[in-house]
Amino acid sequence: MKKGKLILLIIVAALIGVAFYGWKEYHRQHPDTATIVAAFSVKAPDMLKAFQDDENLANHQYNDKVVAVSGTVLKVERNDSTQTVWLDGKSPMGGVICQFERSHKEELGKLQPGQPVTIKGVCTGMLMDVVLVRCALDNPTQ
Amino acid sequence: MKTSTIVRSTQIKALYMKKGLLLAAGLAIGITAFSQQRIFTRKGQVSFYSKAPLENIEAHNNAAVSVIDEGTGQLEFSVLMKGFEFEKALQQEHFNEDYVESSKFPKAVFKGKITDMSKVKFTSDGSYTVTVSGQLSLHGETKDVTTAATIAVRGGAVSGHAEFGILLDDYKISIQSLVKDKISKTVKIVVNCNYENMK
Repeated sequence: MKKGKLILLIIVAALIGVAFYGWKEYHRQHPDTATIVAAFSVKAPDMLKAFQDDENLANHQYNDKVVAVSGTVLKVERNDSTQTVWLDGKSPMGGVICQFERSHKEELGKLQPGQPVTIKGVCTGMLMDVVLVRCALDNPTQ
Repeated sequence: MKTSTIVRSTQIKALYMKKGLLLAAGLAIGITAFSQQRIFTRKGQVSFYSKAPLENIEAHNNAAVSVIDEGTGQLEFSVLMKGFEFEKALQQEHFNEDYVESSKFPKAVFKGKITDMSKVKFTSDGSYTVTVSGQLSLHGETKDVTTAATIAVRGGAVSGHAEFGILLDDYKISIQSLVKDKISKTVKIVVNCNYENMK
């Protein structure tokens, strides 16, 4: 009888554990890019050129990874749903588009066109520009 | 040496070919005498919505590239699949890894035409309902899509809006049998673009 109760208790505890894990996993949020160490540090024109030269290779190298991209701010755009920094790619075809995470949108207030900056974001590939999402300023205090 | 130069230039040509209309449009900047006025955006919004008993899913992409030729009504949209952002990390992972296989098929492209372009007067403000017809390529499959769309002209600025549904089966996007009946088989796609003149 006692043993049976113990087993039941273990089963119930395990079920609760599984359910809790499932619930946590289902509601898991994206990690804050600012807290992730970048897999690569690269200059914006070099990154764009890597994609223009061999898109498949660059997709393989950069996509889904957190990349710290350094470059010159071309423009900053903000509206209700998006906040975007365009980095100069030194190319007539495009540059690097950095879409900021909502929690880091205040950081955009400090940025001016012409300013050098390093932005961390998750690379999603290239259309005309290389596109990074979930961006944050690297070393926002500097 | 010479051969490698030829190979290289062939590669460059191939690259330019691949970029197709977009790159051609980009290269045509300045040759306006031969081309009709084109409008474009690099920050088009493409969202999708799936409503079902198990879960409602929505995701947004704010970096779609789109070009419309105001003369012929030819248009093109490109979007990076990995650029769709979901609120829940797990949904985004399933979307990329299991459903659209975005590492294998990084882009979705729609190429088509506004079939009744003569309705639209780009020189005067107004809202015009048009028909867009073309092919959507996604997950390695290409299917015909026809939808109503709205072109709005306000003070010279052109914006476009369209909503249409696609069947996951059409694009060979399969859902695990466990959740098959609980996830919607159709997905609503909403497109919003604010265009700029290509100078």
